[in-house]
Amino acid sequence: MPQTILKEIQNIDSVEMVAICSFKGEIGFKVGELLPEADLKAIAIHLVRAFAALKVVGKPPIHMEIYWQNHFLHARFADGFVIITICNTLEVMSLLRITLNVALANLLQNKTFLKWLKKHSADALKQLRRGSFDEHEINLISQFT
Amino acid sequence: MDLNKFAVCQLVSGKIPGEVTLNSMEWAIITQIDGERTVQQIAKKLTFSDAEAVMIFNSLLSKGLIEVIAVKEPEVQTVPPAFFTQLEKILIQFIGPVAVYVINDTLLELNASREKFPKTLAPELIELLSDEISDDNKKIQFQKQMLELLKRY
Repeated sequence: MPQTILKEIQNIDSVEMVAICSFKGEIGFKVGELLPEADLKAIAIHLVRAFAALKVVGKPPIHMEIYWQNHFLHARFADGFVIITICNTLEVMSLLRITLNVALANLLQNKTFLKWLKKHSADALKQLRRGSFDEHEINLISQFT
Repeated sequence: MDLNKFAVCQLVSGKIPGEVTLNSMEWAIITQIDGERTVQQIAKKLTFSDAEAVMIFNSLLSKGLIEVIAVKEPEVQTVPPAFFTQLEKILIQFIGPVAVYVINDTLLELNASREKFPKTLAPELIELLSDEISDDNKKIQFQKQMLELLKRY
């Protein structure tokens, strides 16, 4: 089950929430209850738009780390989806990145996950075509370019 | 005593400072100071970064509201020598005999030694060593094996 894989990530010290979101912003799987689904969806869309913008300039990121409302937010991008992790300390980032790489490899062998991905897969660039960037997005992107 | 993230503070007693104004973060810290917990422990509780907390504590110190009573340097947990023996064995499978030299170079880069290598630095070491593996699939295999090794130690 994808949840079992996500729980491995949640077992890391200070990790409060892990979620897999499609590039449409839909939440496929999650563990932890830190945020309401609407907020998580909004964050996912922001991240996907940032990812898409960097992809356009030829620098698609694999990992993205953001300080957000007293938490550290980590995004691990893959083909068609993003794993969002929210934790409380920077000290676990190395361990988190390694665990996410392994978790991603396991997810891509999981039938339940692949079925979900097939149904919800989307091009990140579509998120860019929906309206223009707000000031927060421009500020965010400027940190990575 | 210096104020750093390992410092323990208490409220100043027997001295009434002049009129002071506290911002919300300073007030949050004041409510947590108990003469036992370190700056770092209070920062964690309030989800401040260590640097932020030290800055706020310094501000409270300069206002004469708190004093440093102790500095509790934490005991650093190190990995046992067997960790490096296993690490070498695994990395050799991926990059060959050069693994031993790569590990030594990476330790130099981290300014650390095998004898006193902190457990908290192990994931960073693994990440740096992973970069030496060019094949992405092999890199993941290496990280998978190393995660298992980390769980054991």
